[in-house]
Amino acid sequence: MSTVDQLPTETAGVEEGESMLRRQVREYFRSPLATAATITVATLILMAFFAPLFVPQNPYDLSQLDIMDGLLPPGESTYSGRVLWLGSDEQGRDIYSAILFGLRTSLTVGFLATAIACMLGTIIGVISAYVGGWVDSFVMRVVDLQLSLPSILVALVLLAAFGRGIDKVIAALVIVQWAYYARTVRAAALVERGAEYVEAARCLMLSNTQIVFRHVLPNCMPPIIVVATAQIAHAIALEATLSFLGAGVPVTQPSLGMLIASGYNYLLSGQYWISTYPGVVLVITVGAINLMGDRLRDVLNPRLAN
Amino acid sequence: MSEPAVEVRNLSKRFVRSLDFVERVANLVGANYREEVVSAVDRVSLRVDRAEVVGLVGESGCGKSTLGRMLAGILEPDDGEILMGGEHLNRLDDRRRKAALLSTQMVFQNPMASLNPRMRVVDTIGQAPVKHSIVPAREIVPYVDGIMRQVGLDPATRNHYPHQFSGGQRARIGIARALAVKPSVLVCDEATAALDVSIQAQVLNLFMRLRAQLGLTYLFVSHDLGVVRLLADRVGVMYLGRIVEIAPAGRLFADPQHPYTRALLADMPQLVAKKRRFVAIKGQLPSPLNPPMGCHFHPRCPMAVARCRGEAPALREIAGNHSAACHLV
Repeated sequence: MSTVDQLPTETAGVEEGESMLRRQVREYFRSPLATAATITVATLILMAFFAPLFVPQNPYDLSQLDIMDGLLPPGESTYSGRVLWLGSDEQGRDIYSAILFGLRTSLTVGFLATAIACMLGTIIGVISAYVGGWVDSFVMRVVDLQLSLPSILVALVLLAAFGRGIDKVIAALVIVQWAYYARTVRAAALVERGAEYVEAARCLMLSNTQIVFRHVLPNCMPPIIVVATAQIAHAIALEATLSFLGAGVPVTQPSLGMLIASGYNYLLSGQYWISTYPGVVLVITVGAINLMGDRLRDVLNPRLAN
Repeated sequence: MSEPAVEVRNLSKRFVRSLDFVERVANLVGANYREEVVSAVDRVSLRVDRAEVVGLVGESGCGKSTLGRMLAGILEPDDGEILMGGEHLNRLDDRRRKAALLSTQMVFQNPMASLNPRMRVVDTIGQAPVKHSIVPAREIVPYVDGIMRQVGLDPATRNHYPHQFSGGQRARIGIARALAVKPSVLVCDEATAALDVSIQAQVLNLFMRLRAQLGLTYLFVSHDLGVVRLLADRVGVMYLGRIVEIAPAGRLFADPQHPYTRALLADMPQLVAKKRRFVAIKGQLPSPLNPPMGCHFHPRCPMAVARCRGEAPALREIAGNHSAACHLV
């Protein structure tokens, strides 16, 4: 029986407690494109969040606007001699300042709506997977119904009923997006629920709450993260569309979509900059977030990784 | 001589695929869809004495894992009784039922799949003892260290994740997790099947050492006759949800009575080349959805007679401690 006492304790070459997470983060940043996209998004978030530090004027403080500076093309100087790199709108508002303030609104709406929809959808999805039976069938039919309607249509109808406002836009986005999470989480939870380590946890007489929160949900995270990233981009684009159509955020807190709408009337008269630059920022933001989402999907999906 | 640690009486487990909506509607207009029922375990009675090792062998799909899972509290039996330490599980109140089920732990087949990939070893082993107040949360690290040493793991690796261990080490983590709640019975479900032969030997030695140290009782589910022969005091043979023969290990391997057991043993690879008639079991394992009438084994049995087709043989004692379910023995 002495063989048992030769304990195999060889662990050379293994870093101290390196978690799967850290490994995946390292893997993620091995893609230059994803790294660039992440830096872009981080920069945009920082600049939008601390917008007052980066801009020459508060574009919505009327005392700082001068009608004499109206509709100046990019590169022109204002009456007071400041160069407007991205031009100004008809009220003499600096487009660069307006973009950063607008980006702040867009990102706030996008992230908040995604966070709330993600939590709501995850809870509903896990309950659906765990309770099963007619609850599961019912929830999944509601999800099917929700996903079969175009989100822009549902959001427009909701906002027509709610009226304008940041909170109302967020509510509308949550209502059109929770279903994606519910379906994803339910599918992942059904798979994890049958895993041997969950059987082991049941055998250890752990409660359902402990099993869901310590075992099932942490292993459902990869698909949730992937869906959430794609949905942030979707939410931002959706909000921009709603605001462009005049159903979104209030005029006192314009988002990128509303800036695009306000310059739309000037496009044909040659004053392209009012619409174009906010549009470019919107495209960069949504595109970069989507690139991050693609990379996350590659890293987190073990079937795509070799 | 000894008292039973675990006993099951007439235990059954059926898996039912119920009809979906379309099939139910089709039935209303005259179609004849029926529910598909698999009797994974069919009125099995088995008793495992304290500090005894009982091996359970059989082909894949014979219900041996399902039986083990019912004992471990992972599956609810549909019928029959489980007794633990002489107490009927169903008659205990919630708290004592939980304690009884906790005292029966399971070691799983696949060491990787049975460990949560996102949990450090210290949490995998320590979660249950803390939740069940076996150890106060403050003292969990030394407690886990002790158990890791007991199963031959380096306590310095307690903060590692499962993917950082080798297959044998993962198997040991699975054993440590089970031991952490101080069980008296271990159900080992093909616990060594996924391991290399050399690692298998280490883990089997570990099982035997733990048995000596802790007085553990084992139900050792396996399709590997060699492993069972090495470890078990008594061996039960299962076929399509029923135990067809059960006897002390030495007797069973030396003098098998049931034709299925004989065929199974004849298929066992052996080092010494003997001149022997090779009688493979004829045909395939019948579909458990639609098991044969009478003795489940009769379509493949070389000795089947008319009675075998109509009447299912009961398990009866043919010699001391040796029972078989066959009309012909």
